[in-house]
This record gives sequence, structure tokens and C-alpha cells, in this order.
Amino acid sequence: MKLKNRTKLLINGLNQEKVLNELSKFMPIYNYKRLSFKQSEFEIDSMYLKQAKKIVVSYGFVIENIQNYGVIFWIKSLFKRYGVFAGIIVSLLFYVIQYNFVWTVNAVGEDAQQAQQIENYVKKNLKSNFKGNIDTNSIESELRNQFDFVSSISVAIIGQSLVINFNEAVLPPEMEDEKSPIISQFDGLITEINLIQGTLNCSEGDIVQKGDILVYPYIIDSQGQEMNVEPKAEIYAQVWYRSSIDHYEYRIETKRTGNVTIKNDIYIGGLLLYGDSSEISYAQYDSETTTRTLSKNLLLPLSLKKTIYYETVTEEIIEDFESVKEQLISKARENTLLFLQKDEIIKDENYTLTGGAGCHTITYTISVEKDIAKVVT
Amino acid sequence: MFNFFKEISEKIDLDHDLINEFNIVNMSGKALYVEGHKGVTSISSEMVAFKIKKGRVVIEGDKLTLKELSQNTILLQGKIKKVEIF
Repeated sequence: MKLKNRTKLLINGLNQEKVLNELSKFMPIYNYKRLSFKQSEFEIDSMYLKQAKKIVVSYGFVIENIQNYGVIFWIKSLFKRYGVFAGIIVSLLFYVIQYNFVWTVNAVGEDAQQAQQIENYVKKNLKSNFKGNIDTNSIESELRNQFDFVSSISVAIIGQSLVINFNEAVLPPEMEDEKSPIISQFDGLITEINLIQGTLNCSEGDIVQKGDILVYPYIIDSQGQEMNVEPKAEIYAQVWYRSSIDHYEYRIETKRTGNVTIKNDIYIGGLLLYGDSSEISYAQYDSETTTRTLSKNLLLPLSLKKTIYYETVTEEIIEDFESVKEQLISKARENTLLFLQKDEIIKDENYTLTGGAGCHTITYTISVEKDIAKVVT
Repeated sequence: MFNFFKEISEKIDLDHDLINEFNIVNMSGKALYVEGHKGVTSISSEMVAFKIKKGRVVIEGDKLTLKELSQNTILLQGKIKKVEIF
């Protein structure tokens, strides 16, 4: 099969040389053969066919045959002669390409309205329809956070559909009247209590730990009977946040130098298709590996394994504690401040220093006052 | 097809008249390259004739085929027996 697109013309007429000379003024002529006194055949580039026809006809010649060669004509003839096979190949290609995409979202649950709600939410928030970019685990956790009525959920890609199975959160009848107690969310010293409803299990001045029951969900009526109620209270406590930093006067540290080498390997269904065999020139290194699916289908299950090599050096460090003490204290403070939540006011802060014989520990403590009463459902 | 002699002439800055002259390369009697023809006057498998600036060239041979023809060049293939310039 010729790559260039050429057209072979068979012409009939008198004075072949004159037509040949005229044609050669406008286009190159290839493989000219004089078949008889009146008949000859030759090839031209297909793009000149229209012009050639015009010239040949203007000289009173008859074009007896036109034959095309080249890739484009081969593809055209393939469609003409082998339409069915070409159709199958095109369909197969189309299938392989479209198989990598999710086209429908189906939510399956007991309540059709809730299923519709989930479907609409997923359709609206699906960033990409490409299977490789859909993270079913993150969709699951997002739906769990977004919809309170969902108790369990599973998201899976089946064929070209994203199928979401969910179960509705239904409390058993015996649990419907039960209330949860108020549980302490922090360790702290209780400074103030405003009980609204329920039975107290703590008093001002008590030190409580995270998880301790602060208020029970019942009250004792005048008959001495327990009556279930929703516990409500504001319980303020002095809460401590702590963070520690250890310092060794003699230590060995491994640091990254900043030099990085990246290697990419391509796998087809677990088998190595392309591997970067270059050697790592670093004497010492750390590596991180990530694997990404390039196409999720059975025909071409391609995945890319990317390994990043970081050059490292090991250093022996001798550092006097007194020279870095202030820095370590401020670092310990910064670490402790990270625990603080929005709008919390610092009541007190201090640090303690322990250790000796080359090892020191700085523990930084920040106290705040906050409401530790929170109903756990 | 490229114009071999024309390109060389232009590169070495030859006289313009020389560029317009014709050049013939006979390749071991099996192919013939002509540059600077002025039109084919006769063509068959035994003989090809064409005009040049000041005359005519006749090539005789066996199984001659015109592999390529453009306004300025000719590439002939076949057994070249005789080249005559008139």
C-alpha cells in the first residue's frame, strides 16, 4: 500500500505528448506508460485530479479509467468494501473509549425519594465522569456526612454505572425513648455549672476526664421515680492543652538534600508493560510510591506506578540544650496552640522542664475555659 | 521532483544563462535524469524525444518508462542505448 495519495488515469486521444506537456506545467506526472498510439496511463498526486481532468478533457481526450491509491483511499475503500468489519472495529474502539466513563448514577434504598435525593447530589458533585478519577471511598464518606438518614452506604462502579446502595438509619422501638447523657469532651477542672435539665453527676471543683458522664438523661420526680428527659446544661471547665518536645544533645538526623529522581512504570493488569530501569545514583535515599489507574476496563487495565526517590544524608549533631532552650520553648508553645479552637481565650500558660544527662523534655501547658457539655448522640 | 542542477547553480552563483541550459545524467545506462527540457515531443517504450533550449534530444533504448515528468525535469527508466543531441 502506497502512503502517498495518487490517482492513476487512463486516457485516450490523439497527440498524447501535447497533453503530457500541458499537464507537466501544473503538476508532476509519474509512471507514464504509452499503451498504444492513442492510449496511455500515468499517475498524478490526487490533489491535482480536478485540474488534470479539466486539462485532459479540454484537449478532446477521453478519460477511460480513474484509480486511486494511498492511505486515505485505502481507508475509504475499506469502508466501502468491508463496511461490516470496519463498523465492528470502529464500534470496538468506541466501546473501549467509552468504557472508561461512568454515564449513569443509580441510588438504591428503601425510600425512593431519598434515593433520588442522593442521585441528584452525586450527579451534581461528580467532578469527573472518568472512572480513574472517581474515588468511591470519598463519595461514601461524603454521602454519610451529608445525609443524616443514611446509616450504611456502599458505592461501586458497575459497568458504566455508579451504583449507590444505602440503608436508612432506623432506631429500634425500644431505643426510641432513650436519651444520651452529657459526656465530657475534654479533661479539665469544672469551674461553673448551669443545669437546665437532667441529673448532675459532677460539681464545681471536680476534675473530669474526657468521656466522664456529666449529666444523666433523667430526673427523679416527687414520687422517687426516674423520668427520662433530654439532658441540657452549660458546664464550664478549665481545660488544659499540652504539648511536649524532647531534645537530645547528641543525636543522628537524616535529612533530605532536595535532589529528587522520579521513575514511572506502566502496568497492564499487574504485568509490567514499561519499566524505567535507570539506576538510582544516590548513596542514601527515601522513596514514596503512588499507583494511579489510567483506565478501568478489562481490555486495557493500565496503571501507572510513580516512585519518587529523595536523596538523604545522615548527620551527627551535637547541640547544647541551653543554646536552643528558648527556641524549643517557643516551638512547644506553637505546637500547643494548634490544639486551641476558635474563639477560645487563654487563661494561663506555663512550661515544665524535665530530664538530664543529655536528654531534656519541655512540656508546655495552656489553660482555657470552655463549655465541655456536649450531648453525644 | 527537485531541480538538482538548478539548486547547485544557485548555490555557487553561476551565470543565469548557464542555469537555463539543460543537463543530462545517464546513470549506468539504466536511468536518465534530464533537467531543463522544454517539452516532450515523442514518447514510446523504445524512444523518447524532447526539446531543449537550442535543439532536440532523442533517447533510444528498451522498455523505457517515464518515471517522473515535471515542467523542468524528466526521469527515465529502462535500458538506455543511445542519447543524441541535435
